[in-house]
Amino acid sequence: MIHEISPLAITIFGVFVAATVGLSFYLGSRAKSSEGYFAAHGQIPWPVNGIAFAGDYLSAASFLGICGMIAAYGYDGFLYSIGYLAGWIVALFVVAEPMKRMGKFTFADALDSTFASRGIKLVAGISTLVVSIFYLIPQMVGAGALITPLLGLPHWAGVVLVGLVVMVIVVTAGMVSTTWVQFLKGSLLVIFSLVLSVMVLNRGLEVRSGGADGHAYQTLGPMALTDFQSATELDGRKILPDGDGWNRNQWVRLANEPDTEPEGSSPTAGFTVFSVNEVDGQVTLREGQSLTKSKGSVPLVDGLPMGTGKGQRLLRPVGYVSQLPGGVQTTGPLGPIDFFRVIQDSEVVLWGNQSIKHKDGSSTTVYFQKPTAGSRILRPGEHPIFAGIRSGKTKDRIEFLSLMLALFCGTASLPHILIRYYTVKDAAAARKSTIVGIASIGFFYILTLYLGLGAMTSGTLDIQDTNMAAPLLARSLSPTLFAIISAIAFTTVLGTVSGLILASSGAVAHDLLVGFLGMELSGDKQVRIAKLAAVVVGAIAILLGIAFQEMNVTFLVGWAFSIAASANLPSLVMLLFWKGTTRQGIIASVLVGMTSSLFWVLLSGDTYQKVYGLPAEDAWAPLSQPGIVTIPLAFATLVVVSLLTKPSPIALNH
Amino acid sequence: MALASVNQSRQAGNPHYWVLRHLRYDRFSKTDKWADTFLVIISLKLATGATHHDADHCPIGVTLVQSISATIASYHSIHNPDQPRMKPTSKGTSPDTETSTAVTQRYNARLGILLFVIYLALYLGFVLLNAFAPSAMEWRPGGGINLALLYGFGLIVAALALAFVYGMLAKVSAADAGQEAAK
Repeated sequence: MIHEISPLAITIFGVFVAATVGLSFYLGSRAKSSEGYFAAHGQIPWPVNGIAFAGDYLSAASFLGICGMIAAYGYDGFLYSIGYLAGWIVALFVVAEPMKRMGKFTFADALDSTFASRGIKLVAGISTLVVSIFYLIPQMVGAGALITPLLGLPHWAGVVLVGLVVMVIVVTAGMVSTTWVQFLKGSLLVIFSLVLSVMVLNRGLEVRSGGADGHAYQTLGPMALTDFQSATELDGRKILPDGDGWNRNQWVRLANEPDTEPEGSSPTAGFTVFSVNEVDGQVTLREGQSLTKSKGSVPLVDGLPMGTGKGQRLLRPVGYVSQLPGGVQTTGPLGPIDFFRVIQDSEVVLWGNQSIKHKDGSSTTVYFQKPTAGSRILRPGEHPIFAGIRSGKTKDRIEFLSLMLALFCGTASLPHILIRYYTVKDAAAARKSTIVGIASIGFFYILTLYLGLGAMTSGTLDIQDTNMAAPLLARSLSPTLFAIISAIAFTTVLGTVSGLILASSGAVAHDLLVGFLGMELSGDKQVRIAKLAAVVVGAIAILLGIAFQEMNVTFLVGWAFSIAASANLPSLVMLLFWKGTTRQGIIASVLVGMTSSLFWVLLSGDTYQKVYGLPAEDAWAPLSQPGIVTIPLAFATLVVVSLLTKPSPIALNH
Repeated sequence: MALASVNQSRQAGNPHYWVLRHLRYDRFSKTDKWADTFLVIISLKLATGATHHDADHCPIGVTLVQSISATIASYHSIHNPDQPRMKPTSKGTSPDTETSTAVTQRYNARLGILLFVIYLALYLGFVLLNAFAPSAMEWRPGGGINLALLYGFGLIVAALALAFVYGMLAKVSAADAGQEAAK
């Protein structure tokens, strides 16, 4: 879909960027020392820190990815909401207070608090860098994906813009400015998600036969299968012949009327594609959409060049209710619980897609209607990732358990979240701010279901890009809201990326250079080096964000969670709860957890298919989600190595 | 957390014991009384639930009961009027304060683990139900809302509720209190 550029969105976004950068410069004077740069002097009030947790944690993947997934598949996106929030329970009940007591600036500080070992600083610093960079890629890709529809700039421009703004935020005032940017973003995100949800409920649900552009999708039939097979014309339109990947058992293309033929020598007047649905010898045809891509030419939509001019076509917006309970046409305003009750007994048209390869190397993606009962939308198992739980196969079930485990354990091991514990004054403030964080994040995740289902039924979904569901929902409600939500979505990226870059710069300057290499740097110098590191990591993030343009955002976040949970959590938990933990045990656990999960995701079926373009069956790793193997593996490594390297009692006596 | 003595378990199993005992503690602050009420409610709910059906069979039930009693015991070890040296003081880092800080930290950690185990059981139930009985999620227990939504929202609300319970019951360590007083 091609989006119109909204001047209001650009203005609001510009104001926001100017405000954050201005704030950073204003706060810059307060963060000259290393305590200021890394930990905001530990003077952030806990309520502010709590909202900043939300601003740090609710990344583009949460806001855009989860809403998009719910809009496209229903309940399955909400499984991520549940898992992401559950992770905070680990953070609050197990990690928060000890983390604040043991550490000073970085995750490595806490892990190394009892041993003062250079080895621990090295591995913890590296794991911080690895996790942060894996987490940075999807954020930067998300920034690029947002900038195109909002400001009309190419993908790389969005990535570079975010990179530069974030570098300014981090370099001017480190943790101080990062915290306030995240506070601002967290509060705006939660408030405007609430506004959107209330508007969705107020609008209620309405039966439609097409998207918000007013086009009504056609349904032909039912007709006898034999009639359909022998027909050369349907609905007064010629059936285009099969071949070159097209097959009448699945798709049938009806040629357009001659008078819609574009000027010039276009070889085709275009067509309308229908999906063929056969039940008991009766065929029903449902109108779909198609997009043909070939190298070096304009993509074709239903056989016509993509564009807004004469004889050109755009993919149409989708997402509507086709049937409401009791045969009513509109429901009027709905309460928060009635909303689910009504959807549960409605029918919503979701869209699937399938790819067809052609002889000339081009390929066509056919998008087809999937009228789906509301009771299926509000249960898990519609999305391909989660469909496995209904397959009854053990492997699919383990895959699901593994993902839910990684989400549960991942939150409390993300370095950019952990460093936020150092910005408050004591353990009690760390605890209170986590509670505020859980309250705001939990509230937001409840809203995701309303936003996602609202987008699913708003008639404005982009069939190609589910990530745009939330901003497009806002557009269906009010153009001003669209501008605000788009700008907030963009700043969502800013907040999270600043946290990640700050965590990485701390890992380089504080853990690796000072801690591991033993450089004796004054606080001032350390800050200067950290700022330099922030610029370097920012530049790397920009490059990766451009290189991974085509990658699915949620998918990459899943990697980061698995790696964080495998590398960081086992050693942190064991250090707190097992007196027998040794220095060597921690080093081995972090190394084994990090490398095993890293190699696992690189060798998994998902990566083979989506990154290398190889068949998923060739992959070495038996599962796509490593957590269920690599997290216990890291625990086991720690225990075994610690037992092997246990200081002998004689040595202890002396 | 499974180290609670038999005696403590017995006391924990009898919530009236704690209620009666604390009605006399009029010098306790309001939050302390709230804290006690919460502890009693938790122990009442889980302990009675556990005795009825699963305490004898289910290891998680047993662990829960034990950890509840351990938590209550450690909560009260801070407040026991017979041991005034455990009360938080604002005298900086005297040995008394250090002991008290350690006790507070241990209490908070135990409380955290207890609440963590409760939530873990809820989350595990959700995940296992999804993985092994996905059709159960379509069941509508009442009000026309299916189990998937009820349980999912329930998990989010439970996280908030447990977080607030923790916030109300957790103690400020003496070292922190001293720091604050010094400011």
